[in-house]
Amino acid sequence: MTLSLVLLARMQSLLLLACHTALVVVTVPLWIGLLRWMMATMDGARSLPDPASYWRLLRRAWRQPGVRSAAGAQITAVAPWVALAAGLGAALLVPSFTLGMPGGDLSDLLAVGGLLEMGFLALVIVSLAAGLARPGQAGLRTAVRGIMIQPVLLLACAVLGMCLPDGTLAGLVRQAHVADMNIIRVPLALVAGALLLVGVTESSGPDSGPFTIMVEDLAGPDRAVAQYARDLLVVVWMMLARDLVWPESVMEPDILPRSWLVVSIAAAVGLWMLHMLVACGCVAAMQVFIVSGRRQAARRGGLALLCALMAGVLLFAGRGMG
Amino acid sequence: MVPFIRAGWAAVCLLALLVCLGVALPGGVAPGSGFFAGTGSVALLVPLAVAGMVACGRYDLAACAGAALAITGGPVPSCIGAGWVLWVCDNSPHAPPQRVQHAPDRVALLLLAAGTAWAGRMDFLLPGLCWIATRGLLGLSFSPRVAARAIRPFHMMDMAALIAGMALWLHLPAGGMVADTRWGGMLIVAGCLLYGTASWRALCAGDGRRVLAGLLGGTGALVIVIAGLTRLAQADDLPAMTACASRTFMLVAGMMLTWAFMARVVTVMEREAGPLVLLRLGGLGVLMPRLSLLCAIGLLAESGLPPLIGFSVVWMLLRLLAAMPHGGGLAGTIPLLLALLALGVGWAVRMLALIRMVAVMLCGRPRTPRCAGASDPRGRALWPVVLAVLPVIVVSIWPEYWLGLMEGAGHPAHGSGWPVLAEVGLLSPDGAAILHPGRLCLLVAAGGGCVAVLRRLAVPRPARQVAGWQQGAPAVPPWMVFGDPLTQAGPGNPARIVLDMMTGLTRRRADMYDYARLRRHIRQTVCKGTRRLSRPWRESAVYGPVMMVALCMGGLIFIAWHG
Repeated sequence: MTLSLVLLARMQSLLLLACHTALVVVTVPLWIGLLRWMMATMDGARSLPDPASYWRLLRRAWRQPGVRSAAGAQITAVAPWVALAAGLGAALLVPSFTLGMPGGDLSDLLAVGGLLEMGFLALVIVSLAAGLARPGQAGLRTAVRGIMIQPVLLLACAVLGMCLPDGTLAGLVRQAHVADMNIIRVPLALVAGALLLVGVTESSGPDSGPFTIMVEDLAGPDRAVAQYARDLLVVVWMMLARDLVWPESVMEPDILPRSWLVVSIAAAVGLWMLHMLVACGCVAAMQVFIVSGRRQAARRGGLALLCALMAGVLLFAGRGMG
Repeated sequence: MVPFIRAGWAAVCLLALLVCLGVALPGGVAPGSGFFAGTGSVALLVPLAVAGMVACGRYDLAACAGAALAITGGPVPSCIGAGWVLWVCDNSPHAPPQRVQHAPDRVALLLLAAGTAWAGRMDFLLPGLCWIATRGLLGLSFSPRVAARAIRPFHMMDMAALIAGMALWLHLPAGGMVADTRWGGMLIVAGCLLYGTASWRALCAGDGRRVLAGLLGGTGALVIVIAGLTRLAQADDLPAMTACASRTFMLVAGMMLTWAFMARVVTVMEREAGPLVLLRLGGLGVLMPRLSLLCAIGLLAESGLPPLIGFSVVWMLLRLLAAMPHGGGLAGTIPLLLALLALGVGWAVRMLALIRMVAVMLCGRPRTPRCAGASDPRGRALWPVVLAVLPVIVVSIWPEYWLGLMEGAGHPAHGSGWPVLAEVGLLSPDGAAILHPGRLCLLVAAGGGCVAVLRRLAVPRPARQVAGWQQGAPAVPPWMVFGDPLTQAGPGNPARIVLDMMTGLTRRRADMYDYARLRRHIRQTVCKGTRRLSRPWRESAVYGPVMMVALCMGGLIFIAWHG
């Protein structure tokens, strides 16, 4: 009896993991398309991009014959896939609509951030592999602009560690179901904003920006994978921010047997999509209104650090008042 | 001769492992009560013996011998051993022409030996003396200078020096005046700053070995931070935090395995591709793929990214800093956040240094014919490197086993048995957070495996390779067959981009001029003031009273600080 229960629980967790992975993997181009559409709308562009066109772009890139620069070909052949694997590993750790997936206790913020950083660096290596000046310089510039991830991540982990003892996302969700989160919601929102500021660096369009220069030596499936991995990283950062701000909207698996299974899952998925839509809007507004223009990298890093520091101070002040 | 010495180090490694495992050896090894509770300094013999086994030159072996004395000796012999290591490092052929002044280190070593031998006389000064004494051993410097004349390139002896420095910190007595919160805070602040400057030196160095020397200095700075945290925990009587700091210290000792491996890698790489000057290297990832893959694993372990041992160290350090006693006010929280900020900035710069190393050495095209002729070492030549990476991977996946092994040395020999291996995970000081690096490795491997299968199934056709210059780029000039350093991603670019990100070039130059002018002005003022003050001295007018007042003031300040 106990063995069958354990097996059932394992199967349930695997099923949830499969659903979560499929949901995230399939909807990545949709979120990125929406993000770009929102950015174009906020920017006042005359011709708005089709949110579904990004699917077609990826498909077209995938179907092209594979071509890569001979110099550094061995590295270019592997690095986009490494970025994809790192992004996928991070996506497995960040709960979307439910807990109870295998590896939930590994969802430490530092581990998730580290995996996302690894994916980011793998994409930078793609640009450096061929040794050409233009992509190499763009890659180095992107890497330098992304270095503020580390201090912000450390501060974010410290703030999350002050909020709850184990410092994992799963622990945060569990606490959100039993305690009032309103006291710490503002600091967590600030942490989420800081992570979005440093994590989501460039999403202005499919054919512009430094990322396009970074992958200009690639064609075919490798290029499609690099683009998809970059977008997956952005979506995981947004999922992370969403989980920090609205942790109570993530379901706990022990609820499932007691209620209507399909309805519960559908409601949780719907709530996740709604929150992701809001997150897309926030990121687009951040990109257009706050960190656009010259010196955006320095401003972005400074603002993110300020947000993280403010989160720590506010958390402490809130505790003192509470 | 060298094989015999290596066999000797292998025997030392085996004996140290047996002691760590609790096997009673004839004669026994007496564990000392050290600064880091629950650990015996004998445990440091394991990474040192690994370094001794892979060391090649006589200076490296001499430094390893000195470090062994520093580990196994009492207070005075350990200082003698550390002094020996310092002397070897200063007089080796790799020492920079412009010698770093290590006279304060030697004086501090002497005072440290005296202070630890006569306990109770100058206990309050011991942490400061140990800091100064280990300055050269741990590669600590507040200076961001990166001139080749000033930095010693990384060799195995630097690892021995680092281990000797760690042994000195281990031998420092615990409790009493040595455990003081002021020293703790000062060491943490100094460690964070030293970490940042070491990372900056790694970012700006023009030589692969000097980049690694900077990175090793960062590891030494982490030792100082952990020492400060231990001091705080001992002063506030927090045994759980002390134990956690001790475990973090031993994880840093585990990183020595990575450094030993990297020393071996760069030695082989230098033999195959010539001097590791960053302006002359390039394309090693294609020319020697197997060695480059091993090098990338070592760099990943040092970077602090999951899932290798560097990540475990960063995780433990973060938990330790978060568990630091706050002093009960907002003013106590701000220093914690600032310490984390400083550490994070240092970590970011360190990451940039690693990216730069990968970009310039492993990626791109070879810049010289010497580099273009490099290839993977054949046959048995690669086996030592492969064998050296295995302990790194094992310690990364199961750090708890390593910690159990290290902590076994702190307990008395009980005849037989193994360290506690039941719980495989790293615990935070309060025991609430737990990290399972093994499971994290499994997750990464599973994700990577899925992607590899997808790639195998979905991309059956291999991509066509074309020369880069056919895609519209200007042709490579014939007088630089192997590529122009100016058109590739240069080695000095990240540092410049960081500075550009903070402020523009014009503004930066203006600030530099202002700084130079201010410095000259301060120097002139100080000289003028000294001249005015020393005039009565020279004329013997107020010689006695001035001296007495100065001495009294200094004494009062010291008493006030001492409490």
